[in-house]
Amino acid sequence: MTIGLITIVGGLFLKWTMPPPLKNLSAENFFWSEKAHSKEKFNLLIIGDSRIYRGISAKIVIENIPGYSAKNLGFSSTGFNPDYFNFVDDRLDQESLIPIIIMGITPHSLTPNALKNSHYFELANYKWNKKAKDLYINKYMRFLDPYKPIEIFNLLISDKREDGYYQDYNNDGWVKSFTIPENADSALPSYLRVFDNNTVKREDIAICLKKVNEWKEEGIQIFGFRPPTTKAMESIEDSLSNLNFPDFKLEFEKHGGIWMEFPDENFRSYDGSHLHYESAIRFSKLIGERIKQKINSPKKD
Amino acid sequence: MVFNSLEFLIFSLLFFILWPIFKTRDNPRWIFITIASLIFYGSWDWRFLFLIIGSGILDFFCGLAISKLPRSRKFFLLISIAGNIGCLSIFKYSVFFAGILDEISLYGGYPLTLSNNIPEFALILPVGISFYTFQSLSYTIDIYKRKLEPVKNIFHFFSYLVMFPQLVAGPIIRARDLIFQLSKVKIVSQPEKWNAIKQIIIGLFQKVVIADNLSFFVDSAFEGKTAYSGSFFWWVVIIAFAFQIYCDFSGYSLIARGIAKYMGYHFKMNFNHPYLARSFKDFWSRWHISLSTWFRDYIYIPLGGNKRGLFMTLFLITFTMVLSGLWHGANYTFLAWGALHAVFLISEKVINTHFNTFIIWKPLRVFFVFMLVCSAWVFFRAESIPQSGEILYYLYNFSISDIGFIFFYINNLIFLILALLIEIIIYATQKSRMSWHRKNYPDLILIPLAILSIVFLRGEGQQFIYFQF
Repeated sequence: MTIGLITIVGGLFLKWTMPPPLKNLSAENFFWSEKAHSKEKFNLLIIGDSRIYRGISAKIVIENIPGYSAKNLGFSSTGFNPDYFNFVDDRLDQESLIPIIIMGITPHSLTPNALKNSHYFELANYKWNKKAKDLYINKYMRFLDPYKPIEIFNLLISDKREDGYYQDYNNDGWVKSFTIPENADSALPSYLRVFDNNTVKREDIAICLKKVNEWKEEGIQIFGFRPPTTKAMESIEDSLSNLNFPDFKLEFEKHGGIWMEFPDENFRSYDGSHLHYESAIRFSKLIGERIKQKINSPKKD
Repeated sequence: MVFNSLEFLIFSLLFFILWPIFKTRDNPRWIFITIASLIFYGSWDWRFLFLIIGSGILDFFCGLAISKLPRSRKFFLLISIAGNIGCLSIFKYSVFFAGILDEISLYGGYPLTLSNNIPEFALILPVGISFYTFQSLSYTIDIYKRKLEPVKNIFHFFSYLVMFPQLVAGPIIRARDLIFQLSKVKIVSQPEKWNAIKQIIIGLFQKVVIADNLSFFVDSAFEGKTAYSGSFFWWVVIIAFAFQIYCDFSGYSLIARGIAKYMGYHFKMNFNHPYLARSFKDFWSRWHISLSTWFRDYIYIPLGGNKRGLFMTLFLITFTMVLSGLWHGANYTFLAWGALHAVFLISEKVINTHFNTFIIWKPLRVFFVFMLVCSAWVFFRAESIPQSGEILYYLYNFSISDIGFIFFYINNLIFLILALLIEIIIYATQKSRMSWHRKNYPDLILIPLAILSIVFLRGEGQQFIYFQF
């Protein structure tokens, strides 16, 4: 009994003195389970890999586009293949206004490794108990989210937030992200290896473009773009991925998509790959403006 | 369901709420343990139930036949061995052996494609198969050796075989230890219950605080997700793995022992601070004790042990250790791990035989044994022999490391320092430990700290490493 009391008092004291942990585990689990398993439909979907789910707020995109509900359906290392397209189809509300799909296409998202869609399938294959825990129980367990040791140490001796990866999970499917400190080169070494025996193949591009065409024929507006990243990252991707973006853009538009360019907008990346949340907010507004223009005057970009 | 999950918490709460109703009478007790344990096991995959139930029924009747039919004793023992080893071979080793045969046939000029023709059901590895097959074999073998009488009640047998605390990752309990306990009703005293709860808490601490926090650092290194390298880096990685696997497995065993103790059953210790071993023989008397004693009693000693001359002894040590490696996994790396430990044991035996005792400062012996055990762990964790070779090269080429990895992984390495400190304190206080251990005041500080650590310092959930065996 004494030990139990000491434990409870100790725990309450810890939670009273400490702010929430850096990594919000229960929010993260809810976010991914909800994204993968919810049946809710939207008439504007944003799809792609981590540069999408960290780089675009669906809520901000539709701020000035009345009549639309939006969700960011990005996952880590997403690949544009039929499995992912079927998942997107299931979440698209085709009954309402002109449905819109915004595709953020990175070279990696067309590579064989990405096309395995490991992250998506890991989530999609969750057993019923894991889903139930994430969706219904986790929200009551947030006060039990764990801390990192250095986090506790820093917060006890000062109010200074520790170095680390900050991620805020939003209902619209966006993960507001930044790091302290930022390092615009940190992702580059791994990207130098990511295309080893893993380059883009013509047949996989064809599958992606075929789906764009099918969507267009179903009356869905398809917008595509290359997610903004650092020049160094673009250079690595262009030289190693085997994807020729100018050719891809032309094909994308031939298949009925509308390509959007965002040159020289001076976006900021915290790791050389993903957008800092401040840039993500700005980028989301830009996308929203472009979409609104296109809906109102359907001429090519 | 893993021990550190909400589902298991609910399961065990329900179990212990109902336990007092069933525990006082034999049949209800055995049936309740069996059904609850099968529910626990079926939660992994209901298809696995057919195998364990089928395997159990076979051994139950083989046990009776061995006892009742003296002329056919050997025959029924062989049936039991064939059934158990057969299942293990099909579900665990078919892909591995098929691959070996394909390679051999290719060199021989008559290529086979056995690997591509393995039935789909044989590709699924039932959880805990290596543990419960050995446990079941110990039943029939002990009956054959007349060390045990077979039980007449099939639920009595199944309550031994499938008892959930130890079903999926050990310890491997000998039939003659547990079957007798299961036939009695034990009143568990309050101090025993408290000790059981403490074991569970310490086990959870080892698993979710130490092992799970180390896993991110170890996995990053072995999966090539880090740019760091060099001798110092890899030594830290392999020492971190040494503690990850120790705390993961020891933690699980402690939780299993604690749950069994709360039920009123005693499981023998499975780990006894193996990294404080002063020799490799000592290490194997401290590491996964239930498995090493199983191999000793059912393989090494029956084949002759150390009674047939030095050469035969050395051969049997090699054979037993390689088999032990194979038990852990169907990969050349596990065979290499077992073989390396055989080399260590043989070298130690030869040196001791010819130089009597190797007098050396004890802490240095502990350090030496630990470093070589860590070197062997490389094979255990690596994906392939080439990767093992590459890492061993880094370990011993004294190349420079960027120590920036310490700051990058500080949140993980803190738990390695904690694990090392705990072992050092235990080593330093070995003689005095028993006296303050009996006092209550350390519990007032350590147990709340352990619980708060389990809640607020837990690592991201990882499956118990030994579940893959």
